Amino acid sequence: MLRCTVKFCGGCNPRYDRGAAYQAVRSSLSDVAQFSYPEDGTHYDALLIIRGCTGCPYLYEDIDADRRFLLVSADEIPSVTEQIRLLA
Amino acid sequence: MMTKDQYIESLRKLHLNLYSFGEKVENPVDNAIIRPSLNSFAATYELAEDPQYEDLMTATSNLTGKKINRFTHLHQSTDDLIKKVKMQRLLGQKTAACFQRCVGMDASNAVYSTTYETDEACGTHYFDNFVKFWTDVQENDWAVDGAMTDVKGDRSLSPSKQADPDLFLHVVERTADGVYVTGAKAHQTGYINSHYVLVMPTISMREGDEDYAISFACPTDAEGITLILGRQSCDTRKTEEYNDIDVGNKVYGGHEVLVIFDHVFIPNEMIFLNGEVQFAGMMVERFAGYHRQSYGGCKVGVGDVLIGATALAGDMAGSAKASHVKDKLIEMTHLNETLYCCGIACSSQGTKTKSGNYLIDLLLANVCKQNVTRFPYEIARLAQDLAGGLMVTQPSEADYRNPATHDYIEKYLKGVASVPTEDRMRVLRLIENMTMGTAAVGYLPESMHGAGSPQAQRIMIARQSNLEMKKELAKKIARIK
Repeated sequence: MLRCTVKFCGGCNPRYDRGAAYQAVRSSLSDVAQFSYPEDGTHYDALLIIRGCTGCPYLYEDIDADRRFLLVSADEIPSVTEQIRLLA
Repeated sequence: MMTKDQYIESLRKLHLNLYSFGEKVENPVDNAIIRPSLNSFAATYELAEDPQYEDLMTATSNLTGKKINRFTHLHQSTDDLIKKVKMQRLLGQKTAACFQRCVGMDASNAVYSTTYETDEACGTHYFDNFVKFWTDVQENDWAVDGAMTDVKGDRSLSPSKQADPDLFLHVVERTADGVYVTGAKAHQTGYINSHYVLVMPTISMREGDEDYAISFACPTDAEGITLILGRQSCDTRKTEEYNDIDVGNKVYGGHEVLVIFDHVFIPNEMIFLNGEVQFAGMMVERFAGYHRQSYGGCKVGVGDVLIGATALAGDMAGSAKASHVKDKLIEMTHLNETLYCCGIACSSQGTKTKSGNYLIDLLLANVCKQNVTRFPYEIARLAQDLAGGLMVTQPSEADYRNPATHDYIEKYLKGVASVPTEDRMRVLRLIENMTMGTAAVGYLPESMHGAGSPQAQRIMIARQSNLEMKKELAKKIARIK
């Protein structure tokens, strides 16, 4: 199983439901990936960054992950899900 | 950090000397008039627990290195300043009300940098006092009210020249252990929901005003403090039997109180300014600047809800496709986002103070607040325009629940057939609440006068307008020697 983590932008003006997007990605990948919130000192295979809009610049460099995947709109859920699946 | 539930329970331990509607309030936490304001304040704790909002709602303390609620943070970068505005917009969106915790955050950042520079110039130890106090605030996630506005009496006279010396809060007795203060602070947003109050002078001071140049913190229930709750339009709707639809916003709200200090003792270690009149103005200017930045976030979030409610009212009435409706919604959005632009701009142009925390660009922060004194009124006017007269003429919830009148209301207040009449009533009451009910206190007059009335910003804009440079520019282009 892939060890994945998720980081949300702060959510000041999101264009879509970020929580629902996370659940969609998570459930689609439940057979190959285990998601949790980031913890200090833990290494992850993938970090999913869910931004509510295109204005957020952060990559959360303090989180130790091999790959970073950006989700900026609900339209991107299928493609991001597939990209993470390819790591498995 | 405290959880929402821990915060609410902590308030039950306060012994506030609070009066409202002619009676002593023994239990503010469960008081129907006050509770919505507590819920708004509690949202600042609740959202900090949610991973979806953590990035805005929390920060890393420069004092302890620990994760803290951003409302207790001393801004360490322009990025922190920007995140502050975004956090405020988020809270405004979630509560459609004033969530009250900004004033303490803004006061802390102003006092932090001012005490540092006061100590540097005067050899005092106010910075150490404040750092100790604020470390305790961060460690315990206390709610802190910032108190600046004195009642001011005769505006043409300085504090020490007033007929009644108590019209500006001042030191009335000095001992080896501290001082006693007397006076009053008006319009105190969120005081009842706070554990501490951080007091600052209200204006620049001059020689002779030494007793009035006082800044300190004390528990909100300190001996000698009396509170009198301010009334809000439509406030008693919250106490009616049917108090759901008609209140417009059932869960959230705000409050203000008149805070009277009657010979209240302040120990030396809680004093952050005491007679250094030359630094009163710096503290006032910095607090006002931060708070004027704040309005570029919080009022925008509330505006988001009002724009949404207005659009919903159009959908429910079947008018959403009319070109003027679309255009007015665009205008509302344009005005709202302009306020946000100002909040972000003054943050991005922030600079580091001598103490290490970051201060917003004061000119842009004042421009931000000047716009806030105007645009929410126009947004509210457009909301009322699109909502229609039914917003203020629809029958009460009690009539809607009465079998004798329910069916008539259901039938004749129907808009689009597929929309329940009750939903339409709810959204119209929300618009009423925000533009002329209890929430209008926060969205309109507070936008006008909170963080300083319009003229206060114009004075600051004049001071920082760099007019001589502009004249030189014109001379050069016009080839004037």
